[in-house]
Amino acid sequence: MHSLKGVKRRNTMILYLLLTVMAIVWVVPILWIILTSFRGEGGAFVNYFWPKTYTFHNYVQLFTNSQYPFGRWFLNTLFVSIVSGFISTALVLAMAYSLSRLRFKLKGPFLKVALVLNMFPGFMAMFAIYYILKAAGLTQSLFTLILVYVSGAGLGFYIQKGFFDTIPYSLDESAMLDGATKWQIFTKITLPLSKPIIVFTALTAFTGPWMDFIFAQVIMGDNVKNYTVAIGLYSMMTKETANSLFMSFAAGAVIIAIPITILFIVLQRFYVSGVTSGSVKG
Amino acid sequence: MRKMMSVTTGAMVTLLTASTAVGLLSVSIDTPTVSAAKTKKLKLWVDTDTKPTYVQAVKDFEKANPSVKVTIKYTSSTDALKNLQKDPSAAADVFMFPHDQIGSLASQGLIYQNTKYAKSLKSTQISNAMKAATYKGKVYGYPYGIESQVLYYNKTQLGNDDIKSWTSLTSKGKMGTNLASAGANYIFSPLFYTAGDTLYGANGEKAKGTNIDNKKGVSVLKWMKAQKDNPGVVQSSTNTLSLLQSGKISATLSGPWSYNDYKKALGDNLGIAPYPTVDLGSGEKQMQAFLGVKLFGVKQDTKQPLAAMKLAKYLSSDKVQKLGFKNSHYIPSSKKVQASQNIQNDALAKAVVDMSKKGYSTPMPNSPAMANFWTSADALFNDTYKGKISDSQMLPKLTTLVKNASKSVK
Amino acid sequence: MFKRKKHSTFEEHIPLTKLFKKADGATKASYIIMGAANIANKQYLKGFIFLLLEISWVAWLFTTGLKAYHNMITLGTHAQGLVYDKKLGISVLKAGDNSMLLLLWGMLAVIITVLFILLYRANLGSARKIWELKQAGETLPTLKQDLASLLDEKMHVTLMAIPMTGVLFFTILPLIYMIAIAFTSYDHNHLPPKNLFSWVGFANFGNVISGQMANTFFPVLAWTLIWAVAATVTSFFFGVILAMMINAKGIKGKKVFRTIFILTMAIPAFISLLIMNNMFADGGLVNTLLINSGLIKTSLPFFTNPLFAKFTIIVVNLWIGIPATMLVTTGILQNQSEEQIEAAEIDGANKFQIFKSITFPKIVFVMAPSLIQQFIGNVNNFNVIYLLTGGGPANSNYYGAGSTDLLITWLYNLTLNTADYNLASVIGILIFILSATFSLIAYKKISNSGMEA
Repeated sequence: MHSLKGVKRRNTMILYLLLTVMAIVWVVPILWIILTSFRGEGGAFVNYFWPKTYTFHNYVQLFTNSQYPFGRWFLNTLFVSIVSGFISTALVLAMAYSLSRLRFKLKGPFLKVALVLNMFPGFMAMFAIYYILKAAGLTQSLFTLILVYVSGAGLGFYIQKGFFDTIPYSLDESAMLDGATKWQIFTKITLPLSKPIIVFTALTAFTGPWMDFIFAQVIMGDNVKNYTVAIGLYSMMTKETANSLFMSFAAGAVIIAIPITILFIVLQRFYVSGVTSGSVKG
Repeated sequence: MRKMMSVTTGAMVTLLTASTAVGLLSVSIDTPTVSAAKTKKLKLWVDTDTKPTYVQAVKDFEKANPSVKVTIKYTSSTDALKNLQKDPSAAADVFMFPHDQIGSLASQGLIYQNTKYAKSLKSTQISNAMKAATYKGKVYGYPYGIESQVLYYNKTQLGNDDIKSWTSLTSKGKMGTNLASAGANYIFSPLFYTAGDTLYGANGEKAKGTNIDNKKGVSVLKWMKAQKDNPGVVQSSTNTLSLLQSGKISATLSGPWSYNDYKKALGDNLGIAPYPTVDLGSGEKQMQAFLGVKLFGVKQDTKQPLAAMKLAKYLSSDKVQKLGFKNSHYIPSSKKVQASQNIQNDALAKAVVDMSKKGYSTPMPNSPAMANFWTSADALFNDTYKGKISDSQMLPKLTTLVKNASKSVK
Repeated sequence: MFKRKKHSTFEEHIPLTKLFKKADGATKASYIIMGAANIANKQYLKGFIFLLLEISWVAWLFTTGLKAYHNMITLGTHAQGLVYDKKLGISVLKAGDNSMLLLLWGMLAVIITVLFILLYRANLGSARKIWELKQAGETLPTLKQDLASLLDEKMHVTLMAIPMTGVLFFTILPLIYMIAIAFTSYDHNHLPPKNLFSWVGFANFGNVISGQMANTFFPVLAWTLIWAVAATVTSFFFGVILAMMINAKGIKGKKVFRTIFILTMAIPAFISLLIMNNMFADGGLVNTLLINSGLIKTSLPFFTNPLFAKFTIIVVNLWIGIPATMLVTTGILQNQSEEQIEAAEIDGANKFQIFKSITFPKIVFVMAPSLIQQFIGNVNNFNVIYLLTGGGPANSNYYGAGSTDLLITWLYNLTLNTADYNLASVIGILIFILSATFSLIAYKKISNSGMEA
């Protein structure tokens, strides 16, 4: 009995050690970005970890440099990500629910086609999409960006469908026996049980616009004022400016990470809270 | 039944959207026409960091030409070709571009031929710049600046005589340069000029004009291979700045874009000079660099060709070149401005101007086929430096390179 | 209630050809004048929408449609030219046809007609429904009932209509356009707007699969597959292990650990990749620290040695990929039913057995669709390669690709550097066939594994 406890304690210690080492590996690059964003000297490459001088200048520069209007980019991105986050979430859930719960002819083939449609590499599609948008008179605006981000929602429902699949069908059946319509089942029973996947979907949709630096560039072209942070920051890394603007780039990275990090930390309890099991009990 | 009904509603929605799209579409496919409106609107694309120069220049231009209204937009000049290809009608009327894109721009019909001002530009700009603005005998560009790699060195470690040749540079000091990773192509391809070979023909525009698959070409590769064992050569790419700052290297080859960083690192100890001589096995010869010429272009489907040409011409004038040097530290391409006191007193500008002379540099080839050369050259140079290519493999490898490099035009 | 249940089976209908012979005049008219049967039976709104759409299609066909089809077949006949303008003293542009746009609009025209055909069929279906209901002596659904059904038995229509419109215009249309390009001569010698390109059949496929392109294609394909499998499997495997570790009994500070790993998900991939590129570079932080500490003498070739670079990429990808898996797995672990595990423990199963036969299958089941997507995502993982190595180190045996280039980044080089859109499109189609085959097989496997996916 005693030795068993000893083994358990030893195992726990090993786990702690492993977890700590891994945590360090994961934290160091982040810490380095943060330190770099406050570094007062040097360029993109320095041969030491801790900065020799600290400054807020890199942050100040981001918001005062008229050539790189970071503040405006930040607001653009916030706007696009919130709006497209809402719409995408609604659409993805609608698709996922239909394909998980509702029965209709052609569902099987549709699932296969939808799965496959996503797989054609999108590069050349970018230019086709650009011309489609242009024909509709929609280039270079934030609305267009939202439209394009949202249009992907129709095919990105697989994880969500997987989640709905885990909600017991017996719940639907008993509601149907009570005379509920499909719409009532969807809104009154399934959605309340689906908080984690809603949060997950919203989070993914929300973070998308902060990370896309290629497609957004094709749509925005030379309209610098409507850039998102991702294109903006990426445009700071040209041959001439990569070195001198690197610390401001890092500062920008830190600022982008703040809202997303807060969201992740606040919302992770939804994410990991046991909702599927809850539905079985309820 | 269900299938039918589902299709009904779905199709209705989509068809409605489709018809809207088509309706809009029929409006937007218009053809460019040369309009004769009273105010002529022009769009100008310049690099973000040149803002101070061109805001001022455009202001002056608009004052002199009250009927023209110029909007400045900021995009990277290196992306000019890509941006014009994407959508010519949305592109700027006048745009900046590096001269090696001229072949692609011209053969794809994206750039207006410079018929009106070619003659006067020829008299004011240096001949290498005009050569770079020309493709297949026709002038397209309006030069406004040049750039070339130069030798940067640490004056505390190297003296005036040490920097004359590669041999003394690498015996007295440490040369930090990049032979082992991507980017070696840009620094060391001009060695073929030093050896006496040509890339893409005499004017750099003949797809099949590369002749480096010979003894001279092999001598270049042998030299590269030998640098691996040269203790005075330090492989450096991204870390050049920190190596220079910490004194681990005493010299490097780079362009004007590195000046600010190096100046900050070395201060007054930063020395700038033209390239050294190099011995490829047949005596000391001047080591060459690529000359890059910065050009303005007028897009082919501009609605205001005359006004756009006038603007492009103005932006390449001596006055704006002087302004560019002052505000954005561009090295001018005009003979007169190059000879001016300001330039001659500036170490970097003087070194670049010296490098722009014949024998020191050659304009980078502007054949569209050059795109194929770059990647193949990098691979070959890297592998050669790392010792992966035996002496006997060199010639066949060069033959493959030439074959790849000529491929673009079938 | 039983009536509802009936809807899950699909009813038999009278064939449309038979209907035409048997039906009344209004139904017959629906074969030519869409919505006629609806209007005759007082379903005015529905009927007039059908009719209006038919008229608009016909109008579109004669004003724009036919021209679009013709242009799609020829891909343009007039190249742009220059005409000398005496008044201006320069040559001015005389616009010509733009093959690329003609192709794109041709494809749009095809889609419009396909939609119209579906609409026509729907119109006949509607007419048939009316006829069938009348034959059976039932009353026709009112407009209100029709609309109400959109929230009940036909709810999928409501839910899917908007997303599918997006898919049609932003996925399907570009897709068929791209596929079409593979059969044209749209390369660096035929770039619009100056030049026209034309249809060339299967010639481009031959160019890619044989000849010099093949010497690059197959090695790059092999690395793409190795990378995709390695990246997906390692991220999944280590992510599950990490989640198990964090959620192990007796570990305190679960939340702190979880938060640390989640932090990395909050940083946009393009930033973390650029930072990693910086940190692992020859003169980057990792190498300088290792050299300064005396562990190594010369920089480790993280990105400059082909094999080393491949390992670096996979390891860096772990940094990005593990937290996501960890998070999902944690959710699954916390949701698994205690009873099942307790029952297994009573039966004498040890922890590993429980993990192997209860927990892990559950994780795999829930994550299977996302694993397939991750695999495909990795086949097309442009960001990691483009930002981390840029395809390098260069490889003198390849044409236009580096040692770590995936098919997707090679495709990107082909479009951007050499403007060979048709070859790029062929590679795109090959990637597509590869991904589609794989995922359909994988998808079928999941569906067959006992539970309906």
